[in-house]
Amino acid sequence: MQFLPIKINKYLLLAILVLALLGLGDAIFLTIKYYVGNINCSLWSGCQEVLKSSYATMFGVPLAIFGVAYYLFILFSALAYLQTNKNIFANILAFVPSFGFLFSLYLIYLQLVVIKYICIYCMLSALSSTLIFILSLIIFWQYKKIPPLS
Amino acid sequence: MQKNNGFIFWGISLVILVLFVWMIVNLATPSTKPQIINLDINADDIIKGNETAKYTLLEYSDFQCPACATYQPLVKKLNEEFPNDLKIVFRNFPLSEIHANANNAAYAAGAANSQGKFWEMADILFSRQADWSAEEKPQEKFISYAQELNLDLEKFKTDMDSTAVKDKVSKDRISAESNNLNSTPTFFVNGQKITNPSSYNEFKNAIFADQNK
Repeated sequence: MQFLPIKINKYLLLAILVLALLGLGDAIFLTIKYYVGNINCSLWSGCQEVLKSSYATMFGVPLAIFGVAYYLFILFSALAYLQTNKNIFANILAFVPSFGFLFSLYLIYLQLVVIKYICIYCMLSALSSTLIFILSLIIFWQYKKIPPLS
Repeated sequence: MQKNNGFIFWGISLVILVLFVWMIVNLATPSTKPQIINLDINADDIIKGNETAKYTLLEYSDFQCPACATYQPLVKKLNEEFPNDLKIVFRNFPLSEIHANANNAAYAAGAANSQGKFWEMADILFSRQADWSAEEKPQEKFISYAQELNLDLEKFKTDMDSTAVKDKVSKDRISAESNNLNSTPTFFVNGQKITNPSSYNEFKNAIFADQNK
């Protein structure tokens, strides 16, 4: 399989690492809250309403766990690129965040329109996945600016 | 050499990751630090059960909070199972910032209280929470509930709007805030905060914990 010869600037890579770590922490936090969270209504967030809603799981698995898997994957790819410089990891970082971003859009829609509660920790995850997506666009944009060799 | 570098790189990454995850897990797990409040029962507190019981369960609750509605049958069952050993105190903590009708529901329960039917109204408000939560004018629903309970409707309407009823609700809320509460329901057993139980048995054990020792 062919991969685009993408090179990632080290500051961009560092930013992705930090955001993926932030997203990972947030997703782990939400997963724990899903399982052991106090059953209550809270002044500072609607997280219980969101996490206990029927939209919080997919195929019986809490969405927060998908978040953990996603951020781990991004984190691993960024680290692997840092270590090996291989094109496959640069390609993952340029394209996979689009899916994460689309999924985040759907989750924001669920909170605002369907459940009508906003969970700040879910929004934080959406924010970090959106920022990672923007960085992935920059990676792709920088690649297009460099003309292919052949 | 190249291979060694890889080991060191992934080793350090893994250690940092594990430390990070450990930190998050610590943050997310509820604190077990006991919170104790001064349990002065006021003359205007809403109480059921045995007033001189050894155990007092104090609940801060919001009629529009789904979690409070979930706990309502459990609290009711506790009262039925331990009529002599347990005193149950209800205080309002309407989270009006996130629940638009919470204050009005608390006023309706307060108005029912003036006619001695607080707990009956509370049962209806919780069990039919979905019916009135999104209403623009929930008072109409509350009046129909009052009618079901055979309350004096004129008095009920006046009381819902009275300063006495409203003052009691805001006094309750201020007492919740002065104890740094930020969620409902919050339960205290003899003044000590308990973690919200996940079953009736867990609830019972949390209340009568010192008896089992």
